[in-house]
Amino acid sequence: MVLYESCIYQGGVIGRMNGIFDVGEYLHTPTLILMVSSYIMILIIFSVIYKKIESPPKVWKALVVFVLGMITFRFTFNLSDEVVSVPIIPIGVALLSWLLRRKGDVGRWHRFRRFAWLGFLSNFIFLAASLLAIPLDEMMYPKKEPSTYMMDVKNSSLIATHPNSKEVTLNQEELQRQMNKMKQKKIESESWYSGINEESGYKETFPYILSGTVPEKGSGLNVLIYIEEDGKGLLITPNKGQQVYYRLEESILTEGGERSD
Amino acid sequence: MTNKTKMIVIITAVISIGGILLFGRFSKAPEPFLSDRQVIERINSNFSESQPKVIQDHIFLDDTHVFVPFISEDNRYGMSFWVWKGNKWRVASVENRGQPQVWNGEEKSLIMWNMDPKDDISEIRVFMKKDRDFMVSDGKATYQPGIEMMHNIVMQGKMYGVETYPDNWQELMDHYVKPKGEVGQKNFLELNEPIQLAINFYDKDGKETYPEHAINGISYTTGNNFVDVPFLVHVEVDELEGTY
Repeated sequence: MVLYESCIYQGGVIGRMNGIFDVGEYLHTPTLILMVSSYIMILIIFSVIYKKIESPPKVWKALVVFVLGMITFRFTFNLSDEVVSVPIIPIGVALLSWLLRRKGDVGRWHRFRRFAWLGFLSNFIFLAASLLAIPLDEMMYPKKEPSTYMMDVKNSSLIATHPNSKEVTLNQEELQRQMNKMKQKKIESESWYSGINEESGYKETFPYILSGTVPEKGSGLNVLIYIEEDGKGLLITPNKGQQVYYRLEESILTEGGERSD
Repeated sequence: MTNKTKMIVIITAVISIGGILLFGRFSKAPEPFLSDRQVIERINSNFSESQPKVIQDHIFLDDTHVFVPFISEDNRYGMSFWVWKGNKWRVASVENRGQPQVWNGEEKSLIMWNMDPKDDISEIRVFMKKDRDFMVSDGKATYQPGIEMMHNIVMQGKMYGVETYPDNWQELMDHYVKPKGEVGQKNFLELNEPIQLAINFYDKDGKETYPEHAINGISYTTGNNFVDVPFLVHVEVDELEGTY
């Protein structure tokens, strides 16, 4: 357990902040699609209600009531990388019902109550959207497909990240050729970890990083790809979701050549 | 003209003149760097404890950041860091020691040092390290490979200097930092021990050594500090997995 001890020393934490506000890179299409459709749906319901009412209030007043109606006591939690919030108590509606019914003006509450309740309902529409985002994301960007993580490998390159590794170069054509032939395998994290020790000469199982790949557009993914020492394995750590491990038939590394560090 | 139009004209004039003045004030390009005498005066007026005697050099890290190594009255090799802020060159921090420091600029990261000749250092080795780690939870396994990369800086007669990271270090750091920019992505963070920078020193015979003079000392900062804290840590050879 020598390795754990080395965690204790504190190094300079490197922090560079560029690229964070790069909207295009983190654009998540499924979320965007569902958000837009929920807004359209709410807008349609709003206009239908508005037209049905006999003596409709002014539009802006109806909108204010709608927005206030959205206020709810809700229960929020994380469900596999999606923030899900379940509306429970319609605080806004209750408040409006009391406010508008004051001075015995029941007719006023009658004209507005549907917009208030639509506000409460809209929370459920958003809830449905956030739940749908998970399967839609899986449908559009299947997490089993290597191409989801590395759509474009044309500008890929290799970084040797561990000293006890062979000097190799990346065979990009081979990587491209095998893109659809990779097989997902179980991550043997514990045995990999315990296999690397003093007796085995600290040989890292994944001593290279595949850099410069581009994940599928709109997936909102950002990945770190390690290459196995034999060149036949790829370990991908995405910024969301699970780590995946693929095995290849042929090595994508060529021995010898100039080492990149 | 009526009173009203007069008022409007006056207000517009005041606002535009004020605007021009403010704009000029904030957008001034950095002036040439201070003279050695000015540097010494500024350091003395801010930090009376480390009196510089000789200003060795001033090296621009970018347009607005300058590294100034110096020798103090009591013959210590120190470093000072300067920043162009509010249309003035301001001293950000002063150290009466010269151990390597990191500056993370917008474009690049740099290492700066000013080794004391008494320490007899001829090589600085910088390591980029990440500890190996694994996790199994809910039947889902995650493995984080260990990273260890070395970059050596060889002193060639000059005991102070500035050097950029190797390109692939920069690339790797970007890989690591980018995904961290987003909030709520716990999976990535849970296992991600930060990448660390560590350092050790070698004398001219290639033997590992410890630069007492460069490491022990005091550092003073103003609110304008731009050097990364904590500084580079010293790493023992047996903490490393590779042999160099």
